[in-house]
Amino acid sequence: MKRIIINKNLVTSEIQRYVGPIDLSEESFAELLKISTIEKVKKHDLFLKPGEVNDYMGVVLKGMVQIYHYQGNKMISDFFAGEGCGFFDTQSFLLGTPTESYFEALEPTVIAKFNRKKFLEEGEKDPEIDLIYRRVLQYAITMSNDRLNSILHDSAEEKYINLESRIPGLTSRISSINIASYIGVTQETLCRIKSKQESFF
Amino acid sequence: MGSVETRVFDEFVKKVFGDNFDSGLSPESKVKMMNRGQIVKMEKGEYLQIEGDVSKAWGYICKGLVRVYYMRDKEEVTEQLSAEGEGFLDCESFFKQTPSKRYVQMLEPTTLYLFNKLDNEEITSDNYEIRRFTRCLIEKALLDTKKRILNSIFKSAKERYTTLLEEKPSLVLRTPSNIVASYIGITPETLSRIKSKNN
Repeated sequence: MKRIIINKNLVTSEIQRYVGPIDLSEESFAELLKISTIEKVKKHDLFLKPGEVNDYMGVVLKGMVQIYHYQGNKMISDFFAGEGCGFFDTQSFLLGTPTESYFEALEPTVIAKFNRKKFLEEGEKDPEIDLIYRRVLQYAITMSNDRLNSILHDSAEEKYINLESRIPGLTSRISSINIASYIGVTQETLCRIKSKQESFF
Repeated sequence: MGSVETRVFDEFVKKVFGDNFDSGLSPESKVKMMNRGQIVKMEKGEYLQIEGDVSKAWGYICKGLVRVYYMRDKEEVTEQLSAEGEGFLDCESFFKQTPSKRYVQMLEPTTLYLFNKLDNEEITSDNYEIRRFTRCLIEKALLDTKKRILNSIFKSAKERYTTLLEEKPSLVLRTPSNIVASYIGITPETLSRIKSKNN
C-alpha cells in the first residue's frame, strides 16, 4: 500500500485560523500519529450511520465529507469538511451515545481517525497533545457558534457567500441538493442566488 | 481561600455538570482553580466588555442576567443570554486574544464568578486535573451550543419560542421581548404576534 504522509501543517492550519497559533513539536505530532488510523472511503459511502457510536475525530486528508441528519423526512446538511478539516458528531463523540447523523464521502476520500479514548490517554501523558485536543474543542465551539449565528441571522445569500469562502471550488465539489439543504433553501432559490453571484462579476 | 468562594465554586460545578459529576479536582487543584477566579458584583446596565476590548475572562453567573451581543447593520444581535447557574464566553476573542466585536452587558444586578485568561495555558499545563476540568467545561459548552443549533435549524418562529419558553421560562420572563426575539432569530413583530396568539 502506498504510504500516506500526514502533513503537520495540513492538520493544524484550519484550527489555527479560528483559535490562534498552535505549538506542536515534531515529537508530540509523531505520538499523535501513532494513535491514528488511516481510512479510505469511496464516493457516496456512508461511513457513519444512525445508531452507531462516533468514537473518533476525523481529519480529511484528501476529499470531502458531509455530515447530515434527518428531521422527519427532511434532510439537513450540518457540515462539510474538506482537506485539513476535522469533523465529529458532537454528542456521540463527547458522550459515547449512538449518533443520529450520517458521515458521507462526497468524493473518493482519505481520512485520519483519532480515537477519542486514546487521544485523552495520550493527553494525560503529554500536555502538548492535551492542548491539541482542547484546541480542537475550541475550534469546534467557535465554528458552532458562527454556524448558530448564521442560521439565526444571515440571509440565504450571506450563508452561500460564507460557505463559498470556506470551501474553494464549492459548486464543482458539492451538489446543489446538499448546498441548498445546508443553507436551508429550495434548489430554485439556490439557483437564483448563484446566478446573482455570477452576474456580479 | 474563603468559604464563600468555596461554596460558590462547588455550586458552579454542580449547576454546570449536575449533582453526580466528579470534577476530579483534588483539594490542592481546586484551590489553584479557584485562585484563577474572582467574585465580581456588577450593576444593571453595566458592561463587562465592549467592542474593541480583548476578552480576558469567561464567567459563571451566581445571580443575575447577562447578555452577549454584537452590532450588525446598526442593530444589536443577542448571541448569548445567561442566568444563574450558566456561563458565558466570547469564544473568538478569548481564544485568539484579538479585539472583540462583542459586548457583555448585565441585564440585572449581577454577581459573577470570573475566570481570567491570564497565563491560562501555562498554569494548567503542569496540572493534569485542572486541564481535565477545563476540558470538561469546553465540552459542556460545545454540547449546549449544538443543542441550540438543533432547536433552531428548520424550526419555525413559533417552535423556537415555544422551546425556549419550555426550557427557560424564567429567562423569557425577565428579558425584554426585543432581546428574546433576537436571541432566537426572529423579529420583535413576529414575537408579538406569537405571544398574542398564545393568549
